[in-house]
Amino acid sequence: MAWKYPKRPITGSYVIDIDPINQNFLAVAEESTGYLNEHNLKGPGLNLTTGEQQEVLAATDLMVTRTSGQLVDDIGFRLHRTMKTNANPSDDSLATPTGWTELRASDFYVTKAVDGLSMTRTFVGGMVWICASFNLHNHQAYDRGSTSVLGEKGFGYNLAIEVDGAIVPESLLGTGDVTQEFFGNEDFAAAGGGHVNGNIQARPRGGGGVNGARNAIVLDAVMYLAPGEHTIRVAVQSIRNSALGFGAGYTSKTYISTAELFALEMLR
Amino acid sequence: MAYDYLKDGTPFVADELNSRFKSETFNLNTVVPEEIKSGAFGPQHLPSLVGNAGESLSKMFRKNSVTTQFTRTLASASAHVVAELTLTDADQIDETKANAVIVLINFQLNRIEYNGTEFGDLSLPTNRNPVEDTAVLRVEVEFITSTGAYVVIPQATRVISPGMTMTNNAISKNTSGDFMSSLTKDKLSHKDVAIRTVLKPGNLGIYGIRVRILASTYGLVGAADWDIYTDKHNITLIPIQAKLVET
Repeated sequence: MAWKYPKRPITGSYVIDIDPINQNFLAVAEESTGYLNEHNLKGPGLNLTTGEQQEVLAATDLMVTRTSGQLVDDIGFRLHRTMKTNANPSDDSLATPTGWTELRASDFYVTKAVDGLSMTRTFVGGMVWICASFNLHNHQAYDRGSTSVLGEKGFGYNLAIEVDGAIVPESLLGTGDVTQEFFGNEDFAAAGGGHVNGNIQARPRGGGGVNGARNAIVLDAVMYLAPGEHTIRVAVQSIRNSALGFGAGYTSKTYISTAELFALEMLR
Repeated sequence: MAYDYLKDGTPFVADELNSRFKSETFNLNTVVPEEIKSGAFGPQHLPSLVGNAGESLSKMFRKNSVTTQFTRTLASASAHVVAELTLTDADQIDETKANAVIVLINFQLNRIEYNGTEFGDLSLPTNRNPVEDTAVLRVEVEFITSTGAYVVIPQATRVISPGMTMTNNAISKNTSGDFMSSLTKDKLSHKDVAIRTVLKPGNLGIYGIRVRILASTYGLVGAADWDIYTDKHNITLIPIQAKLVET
């Protein structure tokens, strides 16, 4: 219950009238006792031609809102979801992974406007729980059990939720502070300091953050969104391009296979 | 508390009105020690996420463990059940009760052993020896239908690798060992696995959730068994009544 009750305490000097009292208490009393009202009953809506309110012709026009598709637009919770529907779950012996999203190396966060990793929706405004769950890969996509695994090293990621182009700090998974990361420069790596026989050694480029060739990642944040349209995306930073190539022909990139992104509007 | 309309002609005074709403006023505006002693407010002070009190879906469901360690020999054709949450008949979720269920899954992959030996002793191809992170396990999340069938949730499928901590050649302070090698041999992975997904209860209903680890044909060498150790697992189901907006 988000409002103070009663709105106007009744005192001796209060000018009492029937209607204000009913208005004062009706909504609160109904909600606190779970009564049904226009917020949890579906109506027939407006006539699309005339704009007039349509008559209630059947009980289904007032269907209680539990059933999918019957909820009114101003219900307390709205759940936005997008997910990859065709992503190969990434461990099959397929020559080519299906539905993977490739993220190329960059010095900053990279995003992709694809299902499962991005959504642009109109929000009513208020607190929103944003959650992203996906499979992060840092190994050669086309290496499927062959002996050529030189590119198969994963390390050095910062991951976060991005809202309207801005990284949400509290959603950050990783370190978020590149000054605390160890990384050798490119010349160091090219001279052999970063790898021997294709295998990264103790002082590679990059490092820190989320490690591993294959990771099940979850990012989430609860934040206030202003009313209007917002774009929410998953942002991936390969720290100092740490996964970008460490040998001729062994360029390693970042991929995301299965992914789901949802935002739960918690309205009041 | 039922609200009775005040009708024209009703004689009323302040005391009479206040007495009608006193209990509700206290309930809504007052935080009592019993409500905050556990660090939580009462439900009337929070948005209702799972329905009204007394309804069959007025609660979340969970199954977790923080103490038990599980081990399982994982042959290529079998699977290791990390955790399974089964609802009672009264709690089973279908589309008449909730139109979305948020599923939260967490567990920790303690370590992987190959044929009873430490991971570092794997008989991998020569050029894989220093590449411990090539081991691949598939994680599948399934929901249980009213008939007891297990249905894989495709968008919640993940593959994981043990990470970099397990090493074949421990690093020396004077030499450069393998990438990210530990200072001592370390067979533990401690890989955290987290999965979130949204289910829409349909005709099948949701009677439970199961999380499994399966061997992958990719990354394994030979047909020998793998020993999988997991601990600290949790499954949480949050049924909600929400307008679902999808692309």
